Amino acid sequence: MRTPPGVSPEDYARALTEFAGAVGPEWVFTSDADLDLYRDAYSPFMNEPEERIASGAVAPSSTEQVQQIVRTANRYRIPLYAISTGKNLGYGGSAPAYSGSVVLDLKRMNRIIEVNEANAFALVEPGVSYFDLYRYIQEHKLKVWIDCPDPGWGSVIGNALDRGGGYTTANYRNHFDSHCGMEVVLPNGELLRTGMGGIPNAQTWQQYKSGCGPWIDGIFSQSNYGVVTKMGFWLMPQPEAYLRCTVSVPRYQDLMPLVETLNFVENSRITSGFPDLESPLLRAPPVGQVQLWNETGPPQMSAEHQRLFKAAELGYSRELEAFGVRSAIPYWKLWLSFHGPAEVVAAQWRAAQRHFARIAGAKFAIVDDVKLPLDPAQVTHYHEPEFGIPSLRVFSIGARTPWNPTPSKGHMWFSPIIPRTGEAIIEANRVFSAAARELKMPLFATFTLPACFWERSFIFILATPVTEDPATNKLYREGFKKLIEVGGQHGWGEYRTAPVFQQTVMDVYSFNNQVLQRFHATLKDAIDPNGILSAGRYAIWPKHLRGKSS
Amino acid sequence: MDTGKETNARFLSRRDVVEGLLLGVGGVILVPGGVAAADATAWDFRPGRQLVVVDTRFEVGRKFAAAAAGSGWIAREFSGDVTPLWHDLLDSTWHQHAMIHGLTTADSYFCLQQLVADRFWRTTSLAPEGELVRWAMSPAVAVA
Repeated sequence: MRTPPGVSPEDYARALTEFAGAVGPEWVFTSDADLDLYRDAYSPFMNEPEERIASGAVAPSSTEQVQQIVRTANRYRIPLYAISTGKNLGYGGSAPAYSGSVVLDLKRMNRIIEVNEANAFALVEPGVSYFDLYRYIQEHKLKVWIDCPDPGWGSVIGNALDRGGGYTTANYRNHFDSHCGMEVVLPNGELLRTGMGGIPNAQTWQQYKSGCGPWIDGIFSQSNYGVVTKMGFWLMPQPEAYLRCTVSVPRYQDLMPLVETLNFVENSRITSGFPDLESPLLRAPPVGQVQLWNETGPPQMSAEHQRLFKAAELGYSRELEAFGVRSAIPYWKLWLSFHGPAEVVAAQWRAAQRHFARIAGAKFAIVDDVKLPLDPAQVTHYHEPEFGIPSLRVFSIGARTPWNPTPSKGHMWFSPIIPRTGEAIIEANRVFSAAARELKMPLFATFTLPACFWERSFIFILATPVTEDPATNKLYREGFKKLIEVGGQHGWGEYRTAPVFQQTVMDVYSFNNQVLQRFHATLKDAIDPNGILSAGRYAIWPKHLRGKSS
Repeated sequence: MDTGKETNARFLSRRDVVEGLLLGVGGVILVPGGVAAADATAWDFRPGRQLVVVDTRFEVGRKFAAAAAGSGWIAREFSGDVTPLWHDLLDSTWHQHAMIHGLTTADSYFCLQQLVADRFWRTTSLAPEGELVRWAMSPAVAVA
């Protein structure tokens, strides 16, 4: 049996006994076989000594049990690492940031406490997955949509706390932004409710976010200041119709007005569905079709197209552009989607076309005009998450296919946020492709398009492979850190990352002599003086480990 | 408004099912590969109400399903994407079984293994079988 670092075997044994008393002995795990469930399946340290491994795990089924566990951990200084369902693949899985921690596994806390159709919100516990919530809504025939990521097996709370995103409309895609109200077990075992939940018998906990006074919800995301045991989310009323359209433009420089106009029509709520950028000429797929391309193969290129494509620099050459115009292959294609009453989405599409028509040569097409809800038999014709339907088809992206004969063993997501401009897309490609080439990293090898999860920024989400070869993994880990630093030098930062990179990422947020990290440390010392909760998460270390661990 | 209901996820304690296990002790049992891919007689279908899931895109999967069903096992078929298999079947019925067996691609195995981990199940045997993998999963069992 492993023992957490800095804890005597005797104290650990006492703590385990108390944990067992709180949750029942069958929900305390210490064997290697059981703890394997908490290894990061995509660990960049796969099978190396530095892999983050848990010493134990304890799985409570109620908030009261979480409070008991936290109090015991304080008594014996046991480092805990809270997870909900612990997926988070590519960002660390369920492995602790501080190796040797005891995983506080919340997946048995799986109650859907309320789904309110009339005001479109839900209140759930951390073990509720998108599949669970979707199933509940379907079984109860409630006319609300969830917004789920790819894949849909994760925890609704866990994904929001890690600031994940989805694919429906702008006000629901940002999962942390769409939450309303939290219940949190503080490191001392006290129970806190945020927002209107601060009022006993609150009537509007899931209906008004901020309550009165400082709004503290943000400090419980990507952090280690508390264990979130309930969280409210706003849901989307089921729309009547869905319209999916494309705007195609012919020239390289059209990227700039295309993005500028997208920003206007999205920020004006003329369109609000997930916008998706594609380059047919550069064979860069839209996010929503990556899995389809992997299943059926990418569109074929003619020999001439292939030659011009390979010769282009930063995705451009005059010859390639002329070829595209001549062959009616758009340089850029923007996918827009609209949700609402049929007459409203039709009007929105007309208004959007009016704005995009300022780009010479812009062409418009309707791809899908669908009455909702979808016929279940039709669901797999679409990218399910764009209809609020959880799915695992995204795993076809990493699957072995004729077009992907040697899939990797996993990946770590490189995901910097950049400005939402065409110029930034080109500049980021210039900077990252040069750095990746020098570092021998398999990223930005061809012109890469960002995703539009967030309304006012772009995000690149690029999979850096994890292999079974430690030397290759080491090369990629070091390269990954360099790319983070290169991004930082240009004012770009990651939105989320695996524990092994969290210190490097947070070091990029260095304004005013790292005041942000120092503030985080001040909070940590005040809220969790014994440093028992999720040590090291996003580089927030308790005082006794600060500067000693990474 | 609809309040106070629980999800379908029901957690068995590890002790609930120990007696039903066939391969329940210790870590993952790595079964040597090389079983003739299409030779269903080489598979050991022990008696009992076992659940087996197979990817029927592959001939060996279809044969495996037929052989399992012939032995009284409950065979559930899917075609590549495990989403409907999980959502429509396994997630609501898995707790009726002491063990789930499968003959799937490695990618589908990975997804199912991650999903059953949410119910505190884990892999108890795993073996390559041609281009597929044959596996069994059961509730986590304490290993003292």
